[in-house]
Amino acid sequence: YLRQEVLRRAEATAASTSRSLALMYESEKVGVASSEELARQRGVLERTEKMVDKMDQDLKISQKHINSIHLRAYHQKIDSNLDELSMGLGRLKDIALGMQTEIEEQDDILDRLTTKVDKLDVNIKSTERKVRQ
Amino acid sequence: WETLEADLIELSQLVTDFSLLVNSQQEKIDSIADHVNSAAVNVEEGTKNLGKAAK
Amino acid sequence: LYLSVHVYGVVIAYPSRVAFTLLEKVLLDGHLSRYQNPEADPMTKVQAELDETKIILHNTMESLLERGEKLDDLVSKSEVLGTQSKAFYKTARK
Repeated sequence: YLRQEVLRRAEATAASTSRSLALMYESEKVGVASSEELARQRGVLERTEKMVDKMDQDLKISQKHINSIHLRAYHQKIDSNLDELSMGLGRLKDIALGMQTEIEEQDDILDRLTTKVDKLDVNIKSTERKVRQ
Repeated sequence: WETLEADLIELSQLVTDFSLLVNSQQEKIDSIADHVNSAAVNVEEGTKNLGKAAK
Repeated sequence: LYLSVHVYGVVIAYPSRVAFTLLEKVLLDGHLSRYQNPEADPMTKVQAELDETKIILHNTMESLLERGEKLDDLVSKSEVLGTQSKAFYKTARK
């Protein structure tokens, strides 16, 4: 009974680590997808910023116009699973850190954009008033 | 072992939440881009009109 | 760890699970120094890495939420910008 119990537990543990491993890979996949998504969003943000800059230029021109106008197997399995798990977790950690820095950089872009948009808003308003007058 | 597995489940939950958030922010970013785009077109047209007016 | 041949071998110390793993394995100085940092035990290592990753992810999550707020702000601002620019265009045409 004891022998079987030991075997059974080893098996359960091996199964558990395998499940954990599958979970880890799943998380990693999702993580990679999110980071790619983040990278794409960065592109959109940068394009938006350029549009804002262009509007600024246009407004300047307008201004000028206005002016002019068995047991062993299980144990080995467990060990290898654990090793793989730890490596995988390391990669996951890297992804998480990468996303962290990426988000921080995008934060800077966002701040810049916000101030630019604010300025532009004021600018458009005043230009419009001038045109009306 | 159980806690390890449970922890991993929690972790994957976190990651999925994260990706959902990222996806939801995609919409916001797109709408910002749209607004700015239309604004840019408007400003450009307005500028052209002003140029004609000056002529 | 303060290991001679937790009792099974005796270790005087620390997670007991790791201590027993060490005893089982042993049944010397190198082992003692290696297990000072439970580097030695893959299970502990994985668990620690897991915890670390979780913490990082939580932080990232927070900054992502902040980013969401900023984006909301920008959405409303860009909307205003859109209407403003429309008004500008109209008056210019007039």
